[in-house]
Amino acid sequence: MPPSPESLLTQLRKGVLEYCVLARLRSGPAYGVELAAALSQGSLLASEGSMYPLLSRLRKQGWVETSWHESTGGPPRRHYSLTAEGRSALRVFVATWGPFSADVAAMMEES
Amino acid sequence: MPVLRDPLVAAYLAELDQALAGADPRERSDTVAAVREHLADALAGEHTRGRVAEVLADLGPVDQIAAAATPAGTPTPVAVPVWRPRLTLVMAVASLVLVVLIPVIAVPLALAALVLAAGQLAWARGQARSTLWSAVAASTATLVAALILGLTLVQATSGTLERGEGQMVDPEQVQQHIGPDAVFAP
Repeated sequence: MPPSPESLLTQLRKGVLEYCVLARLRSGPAYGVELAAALSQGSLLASEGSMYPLLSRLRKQGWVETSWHESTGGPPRRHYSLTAEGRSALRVFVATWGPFSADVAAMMEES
Repeated sequence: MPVLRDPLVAAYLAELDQALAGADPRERSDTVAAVREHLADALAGEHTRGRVAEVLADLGPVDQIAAAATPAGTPTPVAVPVWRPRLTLVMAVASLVLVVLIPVIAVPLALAALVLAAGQLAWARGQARSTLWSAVAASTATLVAALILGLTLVQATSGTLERGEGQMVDPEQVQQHIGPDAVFAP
């Protein structure tokens, strides 16, 4: 019996999603709402909320850290940013993902 | 009213906490806190019924969020400094090298490496695990080698009794050990 698209997506996200979060933080810190909005474009996230357990794991692993920033006319916001370890983890992913995704694409094209 | 006292928001957060009951405790508290912050931020500008419903819909069902969390009791990949497994391996290899030269240093070194490796293997993941298992192998080899050397030394010492050297022993015991045809020199 074929898998449902949703269950398949869950499996595919497992290896890759945390690196997408790291990539989004590559250019600088972001606060939660902003990060969630960026990642929920397309099918990367099941829903905005499902990003938060992932962020918790990334913080535990030492790849992401947080800090509080005062914001104009609103409550202070928690900003998420990459650590040095997070940056190197992302580098490894980028180097590995390129060839791997190309191989997968090539295999899918073979008829 | 303040965002977090909105009954819909409060109910959502309570349900989220409930849905995360089986999750890793730290992920549970981090997630609830982060979603609370997300809501406070998203609704700070506009706090209408419609907007609340929209933001909650974007956040998604609490069960879906909980499904993304690690179950409680799963060992977490803690950030282990890379140098620790390597140092453990160096200690183990050093002990193996030293076992023939300075066994009195090699054996404690091997034991220390073994204990350190065992402690780290509880947490380590990936590359670190193979490094640590190599350390275990090298330490074990050292201890086995030390044992063999020790036994060889004991046998060599009991062998020299024939020439009148060595300690006082029960002749019958020695007779059994080296056989009936051996002769004691006067």
